[in-house]
Amino acid sequence: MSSHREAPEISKDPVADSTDVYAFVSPDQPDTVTLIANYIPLQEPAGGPNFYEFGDDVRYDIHIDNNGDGKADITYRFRFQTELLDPETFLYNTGPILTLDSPAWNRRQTYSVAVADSDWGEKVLATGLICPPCNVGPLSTPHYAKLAATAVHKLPGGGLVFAGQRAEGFYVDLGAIFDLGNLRPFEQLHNQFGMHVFSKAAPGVNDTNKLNVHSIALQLPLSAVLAPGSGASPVIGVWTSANRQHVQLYDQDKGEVVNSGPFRQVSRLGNPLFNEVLVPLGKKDLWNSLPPADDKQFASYVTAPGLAALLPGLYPGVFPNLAALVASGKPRADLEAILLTGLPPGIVPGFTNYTGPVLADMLRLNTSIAPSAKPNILGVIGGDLAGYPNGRRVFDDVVTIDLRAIAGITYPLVDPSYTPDGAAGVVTDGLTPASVKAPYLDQFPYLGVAYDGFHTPD
Amino acid sequence: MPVNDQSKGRLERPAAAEGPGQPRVSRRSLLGAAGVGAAGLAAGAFGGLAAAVPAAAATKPAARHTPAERGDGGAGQGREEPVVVHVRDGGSGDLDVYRGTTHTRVHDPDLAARLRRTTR
Repeated sequence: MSSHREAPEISKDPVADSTDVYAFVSPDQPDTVTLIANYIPLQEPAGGPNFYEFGDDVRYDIHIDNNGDGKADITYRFRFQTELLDPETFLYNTGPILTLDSPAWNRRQTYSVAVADSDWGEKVLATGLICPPCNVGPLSTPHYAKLAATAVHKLPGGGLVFAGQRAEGFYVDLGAIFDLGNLRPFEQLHNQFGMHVFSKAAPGVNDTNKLNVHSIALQLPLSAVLAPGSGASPVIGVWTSANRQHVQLYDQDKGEVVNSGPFRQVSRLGNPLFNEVLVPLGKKDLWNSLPPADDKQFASYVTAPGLAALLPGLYPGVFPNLAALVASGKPRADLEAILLTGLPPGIVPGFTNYTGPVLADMLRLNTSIAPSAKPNILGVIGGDLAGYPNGRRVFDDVVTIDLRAIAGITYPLVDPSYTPDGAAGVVTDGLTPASVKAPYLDQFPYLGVAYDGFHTPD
Repeated sequence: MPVNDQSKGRLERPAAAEGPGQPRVSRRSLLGAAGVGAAGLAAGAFGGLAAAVPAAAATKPAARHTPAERGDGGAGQGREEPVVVHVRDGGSGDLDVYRGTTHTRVHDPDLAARLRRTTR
């Protein structure tokens, strides 16, 4: 979760495995949007001697649809290159790394950024941008926060870019949820398959705490992401994809992998939990290979989600109204709107992120809604229109939001006669941003400073 | 927060056009190509193949190379790119030829047969 190791094939290819996507109007620069795509899940900070890095053989894309057809109108592309200064040492660094050009930093990555526009093609914006090192420890990276900050680069035409290690900002009780849908705060209500293991509620456990990810972050002027013209929609759809070339072949003579052929998509992520929770196991790899415009074939998994059918059985007597809704066979038009089209005007007062009738899993952000002065981590269902599913901020509690939506809390949006179960309004895995040790930042790139390998785990 | 200024002027619209759409392909089929083994894939040894194949036999035009796709400054820059041939179907003579970021479908039963004979 939200897309960490979510499909069988991509779980074996971590450098191409997208974990989370964020899109929000920048709170400190409200004439810009921030887009973040995270990769390489569940990084143990003490990852030496070969610390984590992006794949030189992977093309990372962040896509923007600004006309609602589920196809990319603008794509930012990232390619990485690893450099080894001294192949004769076994060390990642041979002394403290105080600057990004430190000769003591032995294995480093740089990257290029290109932008592809569906109208006019592709242009390289910058090359040779340096990533920060991984956060090794107090001797190797003694001033890491400051060092990583110097890896924020300006882009021509306006905007900022950063690519490198950050603290994982997504919080989830993975161990409980994937133990047959157990939620610790309600585990005494779980049917426990008759085993009577739990007798009382327990606090959630953040299984992604003190782990790192690799982030690709952009902060772009609104004018760079919206369709041209005064009547253009303020709503954009955002997703990321990772792409590999057709052929990977090991050249034994050279001792290296040869990549050849056109790039093909191997990983995709828009809304959190879409492929993870809604798409069935037998189709997750297929979903990862397709663009959002092809998502109509997955719509039935949204309008009849398997988890909604499971909850009443897992928690006997807790979700009677949800059970009746599932039994009725009525499609979950609320979930279809939230995840596949955006919410049309008139559903939530003062809000829409509707992009049209094309069914496409994208993170939809209405850029005309100002950042919230007092954010609510439950986003729109918490009365905060600047939060998920209006885009997604780094601290939004998407697990609880999605759990409650699937449990029926949002169904009255499309059927006012439906009364959600009381549990639908309180169900949660029991975590909040306080479950994340590294604090989020108030400025770009917003995700916390990467945990170091010396102090973690403590 | 300090930033490195990489600005070199405003974004200009290049004349060429290439959409970012992604054709359908499953990851399994992608990796399957890499796992075909010596009987199905030939790399490097047939470096002159692309030039030798009659143009009329190609069923798909070569894709354009873009700086980003080559990974500007990437590991492969300035090196001879290998040619990888996948004999899809020895019976019909269909071959996939990969070089750089291009893919060409070739129909050449004689060549397919010769490649297969080299693996026996």
